[in-house]
Amino acid sequence: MKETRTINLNGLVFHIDNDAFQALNNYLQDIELRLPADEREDVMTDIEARVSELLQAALFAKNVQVVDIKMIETIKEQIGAPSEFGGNKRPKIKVRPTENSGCGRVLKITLIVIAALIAAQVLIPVLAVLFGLCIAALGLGVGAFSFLPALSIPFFDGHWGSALFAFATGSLAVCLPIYVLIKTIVSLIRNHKAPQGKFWLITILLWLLSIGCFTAVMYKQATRLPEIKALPQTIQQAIDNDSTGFEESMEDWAEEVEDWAEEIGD
Amino acid sequence: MVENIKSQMRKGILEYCILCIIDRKEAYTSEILEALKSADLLVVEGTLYPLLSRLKNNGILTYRWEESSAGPPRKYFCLTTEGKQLLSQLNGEWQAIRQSIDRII
Repeated sequence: MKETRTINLNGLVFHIDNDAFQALNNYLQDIELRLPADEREDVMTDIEARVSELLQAALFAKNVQVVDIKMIETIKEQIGAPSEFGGNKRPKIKVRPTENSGCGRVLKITLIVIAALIAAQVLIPVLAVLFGLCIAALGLGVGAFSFLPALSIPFFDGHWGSALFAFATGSLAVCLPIYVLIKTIVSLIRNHKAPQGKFWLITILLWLLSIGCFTAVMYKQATRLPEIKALPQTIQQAIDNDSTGFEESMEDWAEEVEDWAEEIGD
Repeated sequence: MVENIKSQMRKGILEYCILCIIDRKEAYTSEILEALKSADLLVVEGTLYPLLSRLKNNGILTYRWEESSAGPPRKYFCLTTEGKQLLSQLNGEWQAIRQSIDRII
C-alpha cells in the first residue's frame, strides 16, 4: 500500500505516488531555476502541458490510475536533464513546503502574494517602531548637544573611551534597523518568507542594548559637566526670579485697578 | 567529443528546422516534437521549449489557443510576417551552406 496525492497539471487531475510526486516536483523546480526570467512562465507552461500529455498516455497504456516513479523517470529521460534548459551551474534550490505543491500555478502564486502581504503587515509596524525608537535615540543625543552648547566639542574631552563607546553604540542603533530592512527584503525575494523569530529576537535585543548603552554613556558624560551639576540650582533660581516678577506685576496691576476705581467713584 | 560536435551541429540548424515545420502548417508543440524526432534532429524534448519561447519573444513566432477534445487547450504556433521574412533569408543561407559544404567534402 502506498500513499498518494492528487495534483493539477495543466488543468488535468492526476493521482500520483508520494515518491513520484517528489521526483516530479524537484525536476520541474530544477528546470524552472535554470530558465531566464523572461522565458520562465512560457516554458514552464509548455513543459507542464507536455508532462501532462505524457502522463495521460502512460496511464492509458498501462491501464492504471496512479502515476508511479517509473513513469516520472521515463518522462525525465524523454524531456531531458534540467541542464538541457540552460545554466551550467545549478543555482541554489529554493526551499519550499511541499504540502501545497500539488496546487496549480495560479494558486501557488496567489499563496505567495498572500504570504508576502501578511509578512508586510507584520513587518511594516515592527520596522516603524524600530525606526521611531531610533529617531528618538538620535533626538536624545541631538537634544543633549543642543541643550548644552558646551557639550558640542568638549563633551568627551579627556574621555575618549566614552566617546568611542558612544560612537559604536550610536552607529549600531542606526545601522541595525537598516540591516533588518535589507535582510527582510532579500529573504522575501529569495525564500518568499520573512526571517525567523530567532532573527527578530537577537536583532531587537541587540538594538535595545545599543540604545541603552548609548543613552547611558551620554548621561554619564553629561553628569560630569559643571553646567549639568549646577542645573538644579539654575532652574530653581529661574523659578524664583519668575515668581518674584509675577508678584511685582500683580501688585502693580492691583494698584492700577484701585486708581481706576477711585476715578470712577469721583 | 564526437557526440558533442554532432549535438552542436544539430542544435545550430534546429531553429531553422522549427521555422520550416511551422511554415508548412500551424503546429502545436507535440506535433513539432514528432516532426523533429522523426527527422532524427532532436534527442531530448527539453531543447525545444526555450527555443520556441525565444523565437516568440523575438517576434518570429506567435501562437493561438485552440480547444482540444483530448484534453486542455493547445498552443498552436505560426510564423509572423517577420518570421516569414527570416525564413526566406535562412532558405537562401541554407542553399549557400550546402553548396559550400558540397565543395569541401
